[in-house]
Amino acid sequence: MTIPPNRKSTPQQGDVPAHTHIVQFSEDDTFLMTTVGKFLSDGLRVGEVCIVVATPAHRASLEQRLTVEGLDLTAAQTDGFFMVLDARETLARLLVQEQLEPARFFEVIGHLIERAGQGQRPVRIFGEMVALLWAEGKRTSALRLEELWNELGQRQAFSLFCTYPIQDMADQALEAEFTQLCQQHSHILPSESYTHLSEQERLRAFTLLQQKALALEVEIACRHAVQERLLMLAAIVESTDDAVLSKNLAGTITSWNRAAEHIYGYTAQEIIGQPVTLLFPPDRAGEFEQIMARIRQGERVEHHETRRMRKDGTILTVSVTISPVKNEAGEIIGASTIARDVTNQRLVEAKSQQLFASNLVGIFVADVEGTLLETNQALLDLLGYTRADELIGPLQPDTPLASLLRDLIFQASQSSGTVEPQETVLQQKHGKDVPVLVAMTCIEHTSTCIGFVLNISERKALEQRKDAFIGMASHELKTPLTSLKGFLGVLRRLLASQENEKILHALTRMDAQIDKLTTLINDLLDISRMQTGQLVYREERVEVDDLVQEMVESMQETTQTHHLQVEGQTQAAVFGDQDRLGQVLMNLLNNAIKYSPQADTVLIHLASDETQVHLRVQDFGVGIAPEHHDKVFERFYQVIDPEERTYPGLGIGLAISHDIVMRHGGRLWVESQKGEGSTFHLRFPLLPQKNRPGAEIQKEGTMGSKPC
Amino acid sequence: MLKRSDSQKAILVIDDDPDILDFLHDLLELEGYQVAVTPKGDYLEKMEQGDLPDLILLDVFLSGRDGREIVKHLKGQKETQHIPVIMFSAHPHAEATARAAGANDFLAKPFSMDDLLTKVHAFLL
Repeated sequence: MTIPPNRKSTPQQGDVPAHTHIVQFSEDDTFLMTTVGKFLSDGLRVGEVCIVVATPAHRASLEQRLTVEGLDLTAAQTDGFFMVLDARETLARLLVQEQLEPARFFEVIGHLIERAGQGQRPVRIFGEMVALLWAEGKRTSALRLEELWNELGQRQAFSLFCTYPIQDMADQALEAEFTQLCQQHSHILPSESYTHLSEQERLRAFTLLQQKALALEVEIACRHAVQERLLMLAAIVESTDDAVLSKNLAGTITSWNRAAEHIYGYTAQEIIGQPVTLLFPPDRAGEFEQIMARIRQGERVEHHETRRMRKDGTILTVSVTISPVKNEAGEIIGASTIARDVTNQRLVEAKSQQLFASNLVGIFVADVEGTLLETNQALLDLLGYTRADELIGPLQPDTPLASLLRDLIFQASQSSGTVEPQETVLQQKHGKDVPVLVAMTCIEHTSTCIGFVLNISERKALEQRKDAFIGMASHELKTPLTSLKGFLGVLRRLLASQENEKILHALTRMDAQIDKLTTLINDLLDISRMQTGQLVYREERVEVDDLVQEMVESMQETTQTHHLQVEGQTQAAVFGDQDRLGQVLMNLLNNAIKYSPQADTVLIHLASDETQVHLRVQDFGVGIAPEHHDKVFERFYQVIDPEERTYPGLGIGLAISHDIVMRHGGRLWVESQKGEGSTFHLRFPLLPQKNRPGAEIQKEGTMGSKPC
Repeated sequence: MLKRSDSQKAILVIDDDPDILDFLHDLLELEGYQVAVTPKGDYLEKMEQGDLPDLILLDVFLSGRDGREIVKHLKGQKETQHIPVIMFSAHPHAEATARAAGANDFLAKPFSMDDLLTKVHAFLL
């Protein structure tokens, strides 16, 4: 705390010159009254006017003192030398809506002084209004009132004595205001214990005070730091998720944090003073003595996992650490306990262990070097092992499992730690191959990988059976069709000589129906093979213009209703399966005719640039609403419109076409509006193209096989 | 046993479906060929040298016998390797293996009669 130097020379007490503003800091009331009494009696004795603006108690005390000193106050009052006002009432006159009003101040107080001094007489005032304001905590108003007194002092001559109890200045936070207050006064009278000393003693006292002030400042800083640390520790204890509690050696709980309330269900109020054994379930009752025996030895009990009971009777799994608490003398007086509720954690662990152990999917855990750490029963069964220790540990580098694991770890490292499910084959202990689906994911912070292995031999067998069935079914269906078609051929030849047009026409229609049936059976076979990625594609050079010409001519032969008109040419060749590409064209032409019953033309437009060929098949029929544009290429999808006639079909033609086009690295899409016809677009990359996206054509093999 | 006049060409049809044998027999006879049909794959092997047909129509999958084995055998014998063999199957993908086994041509069942006769005529010109 710094005390600013006085602006004017320090006055000698009892010898106060006029036009001064004195402040007295006092320790007790009696001393204050003595000083003020002297201030007033000195004035009255030399014929100065004295005004007292004080509390009723102080007024009475002062009047009594002055009377004892032999002053005739009644006469002085009558002659206008002694005026007494109530501090609170006067203050009230200066306020407008609780605020000091300067104009009022100058009017009331200025007028009072004017009247008292009558122009010549010096005036002494003892005022307590600022002290009242300060005591009420209205320190800003008090300072403002001091300012107003000073402003008035510029205009009128008077000596003002005001006072504050020094105790009210003790708060360090008031330092700035205290300094300001001191600056408002021309004279500062220190409190009594200082006032009574001799000059030498005062210097010593002053030096001592300075030293004390410094020591206090250091002490305060220390205490603040300690207090902050304590607050921080308390906050940590309160905010931790672990229960923190303490107990004495008898086991009586002495402190209990918020987490303890939460975990055990008791409030601090309920449990403090209760025995800690309240938390022990009956089967753990003996634990208390064992723990306390160790605590009395000065030992810590660390991470002891046990069971405790909540207030509602629920049993918890907790991990507790219990440490002895010592007093300043180093004697063990109790114990602190930190308890973590691990109930859920243990539950999750047990669950995941169960999930691992009893899963139908084979699961393994390996480190990133490819060492198997754990396997579950399902994986052992799958691989034909009986005991996990036959597999655990570093694998022989040449075993199929080891190379699979190495491959998976490599893949995981290339793709942010996860290997998507993929089909492969694993060899069993006794050499038999098992088709499996494997997936793996690596857990970075533990440097381990968890793999999942699913035996798919049944699915594979089923796929094969399905395939064999469809193959057989299509064969069985086609055999009678072949005979039917054959006998029709014979019949036609036998009847040809009779020149009965109607009969021949009927036979032709029957033959066409058999062809349609054949196409449907072939489509079913194709869609089944497409699903299992077994559609076989040849790879050959296909002259686009020739292929289109051939397909259009073939289609035109059986079409009387529509004229198929070819525009432009590609003069280009693509790479692929001529029959399959022909199948796509036939499908598009068929659809164009089928879905434009009112029209008579189908336009086939051919074009090409440096990189690709572009085919368009345009009809002028019913069209397809945009929301169906993508779906028409899905399997078994048919546009169903209740207002329209239905068109027969299986909804697989476009799906097959789309698949064929994709496998050739091309694109197939539709542009259409309902009622405005449809245009199907086909784009294929041109020859020579070695690395066409999306299509790898294998010789007489399956192209871009995609299991489903 | 094939009995034919000198100008008549003889065709042997081997298929395990009797209906197919029936219509092929009638159809080819109507076209003026001497026709023999059999469901048995080993029929040919029992034939006398002089009775050999001018063309063989052969199913790929016969009951108890793979037509591709038969064509392989025929094409491996000096006496029979000149005889053209047209194979047919309800498995369209059998074409590649049929040709690889030595078949001169292939037809996917069900086939059009015109296609069949065109191919037959072409070999028997």
